[in-house]
Amino acid sequence: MASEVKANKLSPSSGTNLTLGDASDTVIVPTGATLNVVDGIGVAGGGTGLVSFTAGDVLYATGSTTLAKLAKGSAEEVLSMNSGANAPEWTTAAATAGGTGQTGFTAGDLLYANSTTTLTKLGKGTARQGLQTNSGATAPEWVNSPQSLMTAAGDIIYASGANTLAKLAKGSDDEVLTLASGVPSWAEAGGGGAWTQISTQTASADATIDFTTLSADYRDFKVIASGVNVSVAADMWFRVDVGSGFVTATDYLFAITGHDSGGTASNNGSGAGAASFILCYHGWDEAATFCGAMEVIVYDVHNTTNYKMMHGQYDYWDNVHEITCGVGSASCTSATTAITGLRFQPASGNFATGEFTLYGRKIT
Amino acid sequence: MGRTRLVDGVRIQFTAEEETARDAEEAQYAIDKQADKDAREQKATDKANAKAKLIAGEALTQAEADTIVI
Repeated sequence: MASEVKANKLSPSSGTNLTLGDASDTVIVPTGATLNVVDGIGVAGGGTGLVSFTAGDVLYATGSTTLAKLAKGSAEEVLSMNSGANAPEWTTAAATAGGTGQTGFTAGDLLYANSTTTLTKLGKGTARQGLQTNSGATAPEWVNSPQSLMTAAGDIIYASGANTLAKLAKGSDDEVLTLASGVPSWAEAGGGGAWTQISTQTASADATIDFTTLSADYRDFKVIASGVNVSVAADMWFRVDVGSGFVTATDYLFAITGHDSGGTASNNGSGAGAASFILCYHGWDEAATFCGAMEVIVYDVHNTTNYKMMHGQYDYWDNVHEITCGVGSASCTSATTAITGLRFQPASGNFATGEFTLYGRKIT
Repeated sequence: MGRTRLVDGVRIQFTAEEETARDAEEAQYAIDKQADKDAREQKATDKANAKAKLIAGEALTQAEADTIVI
């Protein structure tokens, strides 16, 4: 029989338990009605034992009969077990869990393992650096590479210390590589003394071969001529310019001595008032197959206080096709001014062929 | 075509004045060379004569004597 009991409070008539119905009964709270359990419904009663939540909270068991809530984590965190393996927690994904253990990166960063269970990042290097293992062989590092060091044409690299590369920028023209304080550097050729090739001229139907650029960088000059052939058999002359044109006056003093393959001293000669340094006295043969060679040195050309000395030597076929050799010395007494030009010429006709190369010698 | 001179790699044509000077120089060279040749030949002749006269017991000229006295 249905009945309705209206009361503001039900209390046990004895003890502390208040029972609603019997074992097979159903207690119904109708739709629209509210059942307010002030301290929540316990776990044993199918509740959580908790009275409130925050958005994102996660429930987990803290014991066989208790639940707790885990507040939400931060963005991108993942749920994992704590170090005691007894409760969940929000963490950055560890390497051992398939993550990196890192919370952020910069473009170009590299990841590498710095232990058996962790990853760390190596910031990017500078332009064209190379990746290598550090000196302790424990981790990668960025270091200068040949490509990052050599930034300009002519750069060279060297070791500035053990396992350390450094750049040496190119030097100036004609400088040589030397050592200073144990490392390489560019410097002027110390001590001088070596002949430096300056220029070459190739004769072709030319009456004279002149060199008129005698740089102050050099003290002595030498010309080597080879493959020299002439248009007509004639003596070979050498003249200098002492600043006012090539000297043709009879101001040359010379002495030469030589022999030919015929066994005679056919090329001896001297002059104490000649119009040139006569290198060849016996007719340089004009046949194309009988080319000769010669070499002349003019010393201390820029000196302005004394007459300059010259040295000549020659090897040629004379006009009866005998090999002739000789050596001689000369000077021009027109003036003590600096010599500004060197001239080779046959006494008659032209040079048909010949390579004339000028060399200079520094003393500093 | 006139003469040229090669100066520091540049081929330059002789001027008229230079052609004239070079002609004169070559002409003088020919004269000097002929004179030198004549002198050498005369010296050879004197030397041969000196040798022959010494063998024959004849008197030598100064030039002939010069060829055999050092």
